[in-house]
Formats: sequence, structure tokens, C-alpha cells
Amino acid sequence: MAYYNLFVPLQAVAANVVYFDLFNASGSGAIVEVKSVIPVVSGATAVTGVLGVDIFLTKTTAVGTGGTAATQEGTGLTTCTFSGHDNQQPLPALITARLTPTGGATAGGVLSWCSLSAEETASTTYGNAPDMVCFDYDDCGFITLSANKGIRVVQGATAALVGNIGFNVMFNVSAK
Amino acid sequence: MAHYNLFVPLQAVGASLVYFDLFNASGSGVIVNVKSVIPVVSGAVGVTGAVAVDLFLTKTSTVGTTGTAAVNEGTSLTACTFTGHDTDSFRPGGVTARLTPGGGATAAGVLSWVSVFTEETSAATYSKVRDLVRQGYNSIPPVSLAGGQGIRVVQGSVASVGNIGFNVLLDIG
Repeated sequence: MAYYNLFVPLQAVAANVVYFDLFNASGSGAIVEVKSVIPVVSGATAVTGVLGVDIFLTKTTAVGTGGTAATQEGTGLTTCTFSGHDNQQPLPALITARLTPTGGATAGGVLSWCSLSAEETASTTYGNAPDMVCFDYDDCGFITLSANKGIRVVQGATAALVGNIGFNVMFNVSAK
Repeated sequence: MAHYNLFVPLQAVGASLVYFDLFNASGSGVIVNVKSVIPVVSGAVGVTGAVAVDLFLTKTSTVGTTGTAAVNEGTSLTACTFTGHDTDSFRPGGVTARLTPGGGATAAGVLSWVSVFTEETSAATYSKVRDLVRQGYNSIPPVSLAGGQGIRVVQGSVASVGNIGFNVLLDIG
């Protein structure tokens, strides 16, 4: 079993934006177990706004299209990348992710949600985002993605005025 | 054992409102272990109010009625749904939930409570809210629901303003 991080850099908030999707395509020969999806609100850029940002973790039933595909072991701090905890084990090619997919990533069952403050001067902008998979418990069952299944994080229909949000996603991959 | 989330979308707060109930009917043949019930205050809609909202997790002794029944694997961000962590496992039919039940969901033992602030401009609104079941402690066992038992979250008798939902983690075995 190999462990990976999916690094999802900050993106500007927007109503209904899909921040990223992660998909395990048929034929990958692998099972993906998502251990955590943790939002990170960046306070490094000053914004002005008072409304919070509601975001939702859902399953997906189709791979995302458009957007920017995640690379492997990428070095950019502003691009999406898979990086192995054990660098000797490359990620199977049919396990993919995209930053801000514009199509596909068809909504599956809704798993969880949270509401975040994105204003850089507010203390609660920092350190209050929950793990959207198991909420810091280790006995609640991780999210298993068998072939042709995925996840995404999508913002709700209400546009927050401003803000920048990324994610830390941890998962492992094992042979089917 | 199969793990599920019960996604409970935001609802407008109200005095004595039952936000949702989860019930394991007699004859389901399963035990439901509720591992966490975590309130989520939405700051995405502006509200005006000065008092907080007290929320109470209680057991129930009857199933809820009316309201809106939770579906399986629902895709709507505004409807209540059970969603499996293992996508190949399905919820037994005797395990049900409702958003805002209008009847039933008879109150049984009160388990815990929390007070949350709902004003979108306040930092307090976005503070991490403790899990009402295990308060963050892995070593505490879940709330087990045998046949004929359930839970609900109910607001206290003081009205306020705001919008609150929940993330409920459970397993069924």
C-alpha cells in the first residue's frame, strides 16, 4: 500500500465552483482510500468580505474534464500535484485529479460540509477547518473509491464576496 | 460493518426546532453506532441577531414523522442524505432519518449540548464546534442504537437567527 498527498493550491472562491476532483478510473487496477480532505484558507492576500464560504465534499460518478490536471511530484506552489509519501511507488496513471474542473466530475452522494471564514484579519480564518472525511477520528471508515468513482469539493450556491481556499488531501492506493 | 455519513443540510434556526432525527426501527436486524454529530453553522447568508443558539443531542424512542426523509446517495446540497464511505454498501431499510420532523421523534435521554453563534460577521461563528457524541475523544464509545431507538438534535426554547446543519458519522453492523 502506498500513501500520497494530493496538494491542491489556493483558488479564489466562487459560487458553485468545483475546487478539485480526484478520480479512480476503470482499469486502474487499484483501490483508492481517501483518508482526509482538509481545507486551507489562505490569509496571505487581503480580501474584503463578511460572508462565510460553504463547501461540500461529495462523491463523483465521472472523471472531471477541463481545468488543470494534477502532475506527479510537481514543484509549483500554485499547481495541483500528487506527491508520494514513499517516492519509490509511482501513482497508477488512471488515478487522476484536476484543479477547477469545468466539466465532468458528476455529482454523487453528498458526504459532508463546512462553513469557513475567509477574511484575513479574522482569527477564525486560521486553524478551524475540519477534516471533511472523518473529522479527526480514526475509526469512522475512510472513503473507498473503487473503479470509476471519485470525490470533489464544491462550493455552495452562495457567492462569498472574496477569499482563497486550497486543500490537503491524503489517500492511499492498493491493488484491487 | 459499513460506514456512512448522514449529511444534514442547513436549516433556519427556530425555537424548539427538531433539526433532524435518525432512527433504527425494531426489526431492522442491525445496530447503528453513531460516532459523531457535529454542528455546522453556515456564514454564507447574512443574518442579524444578538443571541446564540443552544442545541441539544437527545435520544428518541419513536421514529420521526413528516419532515423530509433522507435519501440514499443524494446529490443535492440542500437535502438530507445517507452516503456510504464504502460505495458498494447500502443502508438497511429500517434505518431512516428525516430533516425537520414535524412529529414523532419522541424525546428520550438528553446526551449533550452546545451553544453556537450564528452571526456571519462574528469570528465566533466559524469556531470549531465540538462533536456532540464523543467530544473529540477516540476512546469514548459511540452512541449505540438498538432496534426501536434513535437520536435527534433539538434547539432550546429560545429563538434566534441563522442557519445550521450537521455532519453525522455512523456505522451499521
